[in-house]
Amino acid sequence: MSKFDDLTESWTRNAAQRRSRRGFLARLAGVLTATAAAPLLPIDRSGRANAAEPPSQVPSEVPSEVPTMGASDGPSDDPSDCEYWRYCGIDGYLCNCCGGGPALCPPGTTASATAWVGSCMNPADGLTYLIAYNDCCGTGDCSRCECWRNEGQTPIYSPQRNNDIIWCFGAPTMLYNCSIARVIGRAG
Amino acid sequence: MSVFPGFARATVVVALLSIATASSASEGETLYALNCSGCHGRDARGMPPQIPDLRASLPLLLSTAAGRGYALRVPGVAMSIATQQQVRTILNWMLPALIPGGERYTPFTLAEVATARRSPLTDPESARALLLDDGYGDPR
Repeated sequence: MSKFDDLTESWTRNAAQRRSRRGFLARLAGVLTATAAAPLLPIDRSGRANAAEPPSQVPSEVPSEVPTMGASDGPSDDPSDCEYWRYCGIDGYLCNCCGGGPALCPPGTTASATAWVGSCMNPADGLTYLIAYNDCCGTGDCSRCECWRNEGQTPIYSPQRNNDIIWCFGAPTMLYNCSIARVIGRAG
Repeated sequence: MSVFPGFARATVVVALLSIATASSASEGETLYALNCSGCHGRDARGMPPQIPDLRASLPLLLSTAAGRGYALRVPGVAMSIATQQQVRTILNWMLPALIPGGERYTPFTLAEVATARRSPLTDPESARALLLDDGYGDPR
């Protein structure tokens, strides 16, 4: 223990002889300020978020992120907003709010092999695009960003274009998580 | 000899291909996408064993008059919200576009579609079992 005391005493005396009190306080203040301010610095998290996405849990015939076929998002488009142009016929929770994207299922879920197909006009270019609304299935309700728009959908007795149906046919389970909106082409 | 003209031509070709890729679908393709592709897929591949592969089953059905009638009377066709004209457009686009050898079948007429609409199948599985032995006619 005496060795430790000697070492501490030696270091303290050495510091007292070589460093001023003001200098020490200035350095201490700098360290404390930097520590407190570090979390406020801007950090690009998008790359990490993209890297964290799984390769794809979507069946091969249903690309996880379909090329937009010339569609371009308008300047004010927000895929987390129910008013996003692709969602004109969607009914469910937006996968963009559930760990996925507007056309990407969240990790742990699988896109249904079936979908109901509607069409939406993209305000950015004024063109109408065919949109496949697949459900992502495998875990329970995401329960975030509920969105209920019904453009082009039909009553339940015309099921092929109805959006009240859980479109999990073809997925490993019928457990609905959220819905995606894939651009599959331009409407003629 | 300059290589630039060749490069320019290639650039024009690429540009034209890009335009073609972004061009809109035909009426038949659009109607098929909206009314059929959700289950049968953009390429009519279906989802066997739940949803038949139309590329395999339609040629078999269309080889007989009874099968042709069946194809028009299945609920998805005869009870579709598409108009009779639209149903005809879809079917006549599908045949050459999606079905192997489909161009050799006689295009559907409006009269055929109208007749089928008056008598949609109420028991399509039993009707299918009489026509094809591909498993889809067996009640599940």
